[in-house]
Amino acid sequence: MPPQSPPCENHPALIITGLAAQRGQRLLWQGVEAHWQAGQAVWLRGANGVGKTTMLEILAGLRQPLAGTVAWSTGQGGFADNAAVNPTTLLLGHRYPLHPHLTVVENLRYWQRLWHLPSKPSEQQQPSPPPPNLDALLASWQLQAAATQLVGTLSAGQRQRVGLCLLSVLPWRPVWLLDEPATALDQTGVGRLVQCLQDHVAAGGLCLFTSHQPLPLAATIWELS
Amino acid sequence: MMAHFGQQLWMHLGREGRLMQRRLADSLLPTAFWWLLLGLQAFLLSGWDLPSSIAGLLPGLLLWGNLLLTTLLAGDRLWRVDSANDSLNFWRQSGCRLSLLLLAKLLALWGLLLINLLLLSPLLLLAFPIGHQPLGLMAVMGLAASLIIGSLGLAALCSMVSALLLGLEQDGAGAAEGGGGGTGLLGLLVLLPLAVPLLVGGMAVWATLIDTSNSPAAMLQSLAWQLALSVLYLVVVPLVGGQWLTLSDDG
Repeated sequence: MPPQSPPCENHPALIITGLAAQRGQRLLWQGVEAHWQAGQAVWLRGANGVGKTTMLEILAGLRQPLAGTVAWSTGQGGFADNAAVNPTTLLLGHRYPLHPHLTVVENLRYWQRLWHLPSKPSEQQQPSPPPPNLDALLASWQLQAAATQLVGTLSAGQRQRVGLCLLSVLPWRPVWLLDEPATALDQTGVGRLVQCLQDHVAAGGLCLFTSHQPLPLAATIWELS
Repeated sequence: MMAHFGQQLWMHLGREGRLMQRRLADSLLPTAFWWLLLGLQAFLLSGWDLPSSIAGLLPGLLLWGNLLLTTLLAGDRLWRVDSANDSLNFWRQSGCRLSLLLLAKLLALWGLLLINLLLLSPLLLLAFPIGHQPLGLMAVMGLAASLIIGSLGLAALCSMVSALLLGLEQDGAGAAEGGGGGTGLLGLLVLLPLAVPLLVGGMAVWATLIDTSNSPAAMLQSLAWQLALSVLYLVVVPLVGGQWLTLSDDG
């Protein structure tokens, strides 16, 4: 099942200027500059502990940088920065927000409904394609048999697949930030993930991911050191 | 606007309710703890010949002290799973109001306390008259009202403290201050000054219940004090706690 298509005028870009970050008292990096266009896949690489996850969190606006700015396209030709949370990104960390005591369907439906609510009472619901059929989506990830199972009883690979289903059930956001999305996936799962990323990029999205294994995907390498 | 917030709140409440039902054994643990504590205290104190003034107040003191401990125990679990996975970040990205999420967790905690403790506590007191004669029906009803109101305030305070501790733990401040001890101590320092007036209100209700010379108006006055405090905490805590949760992941 392809991910939901974006409105045509949404062509994202991330402009990173003089970015610096620290963890505790340790300076991770500084002076990072980058400019990512719509329709790009970017592989963020770096050694363990270099701050890849921190970078993704800063890009999503979930963590404040030590210095520098992250600007994103507003979709109307302009750019914005310094909002509390970047509204154009969807960050899926390496720990997925799946409660072990809820079933696969319960987890997905909860996030789907919550994310589809307008964030402000005055805000109109964004015109977006109808939410995907969960059964078909789960089947495409070979999860149909696990639909009513508690997430806590699934294998690591199955949990990873359920987490990646979130990419399709949530409202479309131009920038995907994925932290180790291929962890614990078998070859079929990696293939499905790559297809998902390619669809997003083809639809005009920007996909920025970290991975310790190369993915069969044409991606620009961004080395963080 | 109310419908919008109501929809969000309802979604969170549905999730919390389902989780409570799924984790029934976990949900009943604080109750087991509370029953054990009060039963043990009743057993130990039944052999003592205490002055009548102390013997009258002691059950109330134990009841409220135990309720505070039980609420703290139950409140400690509020964010355990959600902080272990990436749910908090996901809530923030969704644009939902974290204050509503906190309110839902607070109400779920209160519901847990109500179901498990309040319905049972008057029976427990009747079964274990701690150096005092069993309470009458009116007194039990007054006590139940006091516990319903007071536990709401305590649930609110414990939710706020758990949100504060979650923020500090995620920032690594706990480690910097020498492990969980630093954050735990800070939590107590925040909790106690706010909880004491609520507990005093509960004790005031208890005092009017055991003193038959008091009029019902005196009891209502104490209940009104408890109610005012609980409503204040109910309004303020989600706002303050939601802000803490928003800031907690900013590093």
